[in-house]
Amino acid sequence: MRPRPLLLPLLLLLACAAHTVGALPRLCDVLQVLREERDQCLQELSKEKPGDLGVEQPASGCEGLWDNMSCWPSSALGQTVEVGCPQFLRMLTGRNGSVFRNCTEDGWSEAFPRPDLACGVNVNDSSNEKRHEYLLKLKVMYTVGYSSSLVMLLVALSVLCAFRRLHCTRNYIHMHLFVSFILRALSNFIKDAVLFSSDDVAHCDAHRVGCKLVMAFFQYCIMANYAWLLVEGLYLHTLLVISFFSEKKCLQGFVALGWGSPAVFVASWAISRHFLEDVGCWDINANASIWWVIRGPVILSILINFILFINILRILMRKLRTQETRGNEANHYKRLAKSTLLLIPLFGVHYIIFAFSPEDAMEVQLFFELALGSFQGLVVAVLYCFLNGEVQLEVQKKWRQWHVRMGDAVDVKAADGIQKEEEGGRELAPEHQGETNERDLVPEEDHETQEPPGREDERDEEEDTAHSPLAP
Amino acid sequence: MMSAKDMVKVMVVMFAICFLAKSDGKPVKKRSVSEIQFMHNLGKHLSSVERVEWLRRKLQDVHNFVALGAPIAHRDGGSQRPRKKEDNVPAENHQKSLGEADKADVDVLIKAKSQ
Repeated sequence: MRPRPLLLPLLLLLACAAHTVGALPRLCDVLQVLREERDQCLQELSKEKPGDLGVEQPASGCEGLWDNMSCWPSSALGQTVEVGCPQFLRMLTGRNGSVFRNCTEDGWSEAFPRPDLACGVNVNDSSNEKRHEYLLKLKVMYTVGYSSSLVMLLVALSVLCAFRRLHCTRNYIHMHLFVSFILRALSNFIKDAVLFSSDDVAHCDAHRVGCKLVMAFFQYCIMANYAWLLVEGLYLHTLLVISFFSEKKCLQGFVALGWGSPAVFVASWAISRHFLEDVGCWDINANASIWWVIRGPVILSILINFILFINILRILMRKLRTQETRGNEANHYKRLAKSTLLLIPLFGVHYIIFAFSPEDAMEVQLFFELALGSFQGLVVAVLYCFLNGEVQLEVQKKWRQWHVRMGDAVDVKAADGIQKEEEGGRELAPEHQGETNERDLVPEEDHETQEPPGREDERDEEEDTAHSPLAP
Repeated sequence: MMSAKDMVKVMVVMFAICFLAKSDGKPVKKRSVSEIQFMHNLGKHLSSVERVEWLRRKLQDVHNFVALGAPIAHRDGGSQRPRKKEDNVPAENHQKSLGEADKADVDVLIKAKSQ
């Protein structure tokens, strides 16, 4: 039985290494150390016993004892035995100390001082409960946010898919963004279900592959969402800055950037995690350099989107200034403010606020970002689908068609002609309704460089051919 | 289109931010993606709760073991042989009970978590 004593120091060394990093050992590690200690103690005690038969010991002594925590060697009556704090406690507290027992006529006395006091274990820590409550509140909040976002996004996505007239590059990109939001919400639910459900904590066995796959999928969905926010920024910026470009190639490039680049980063993260930091379910990350594989691209995308956002606002401002003499100034600033507010959720500009914040602000950051992030999908679905003029128009058309058809079945057929005439008259009206769209981003009296993305659609609304915002 | 000067400005600002944000080999504490930060915090918190809960039971266990089991065994033993036999009982019992107690702990923890 040689390897046992070798294994214990090795485990302790590992435990110490974990300790220096600042992470407390996991419960399963502690249990394993305890198991090793117990086995060693029982072995030693059983070794003592055959000796007992040969060499007569005084009957009044105390026999060796494993008391679930430390190993007490057999001792003579009236002696006080000192034993160091058990290893597993030292792992947890990092403190040394010792516990005593007297060998009395009735056997061993109680250990003194109490082991938890002697070894500096604080079992009654109320800060844990407060923390638990805070984390649970956060979880409830983002669960509500993601589920409401999920419902709205699914409706918005099916609306955009259903109406062929709405199919254009801008809406394709919106649809991809919606899908990435949906995936982000779904992956959060899956992650919560897998990670914080029952898991055998008593054993350090490597977590199942499924758990790690879920974790990689989670990271992928989050990165894909950031990537598509970046694509939205890039697309609008390209529209405003570059006059002529191939929409088709552009869309292909964006799809590759939006779905492909996260896959590359997450794959390299998973591979490095597997070989360098294969701990638990990959949910807790302690190694900075591995984490930068995910963190770096995310921060970069937030930063680039912020710069694009600022640049777009700058272009709008410049256009406003050239029109200042002509138009109503207050009206222009209202438009500018409106477009700014519209762009913030689409670009995820709010992420910049805490992207470089110090660690002290962590609690505020978590609350702020989880609240905004979970409801962001809902806001985007409302702003860019339900409040969009074209979408409203299409839905109204469909609704009327359906209504007419229903009416046909019931009504007299003669009334049909009159109804349709009315229909045609009414259809023109919604075009002049206030629309929340990218067309609001650029002032209407714009003759400077090129058409704003939305206006072209407005003009070509009745023609199926010209759906691209920059179609000639 | 952005001019080369603007480009340079942007690059300088980006590098400055990257250098300022660099964590100089320290372990990461901030994760810059709030969901992942939350997952990290919750994971650490749950494992610490597990540890404390287990430790509390463990200490209680040790207390009970000595107060009830061990001294009685010694008091009964008049001669060497029966004492040895009885002495072996708690140890063997314990070998099983450690696993069972752990399982019980885990059950309690799972119940606590699902609340």
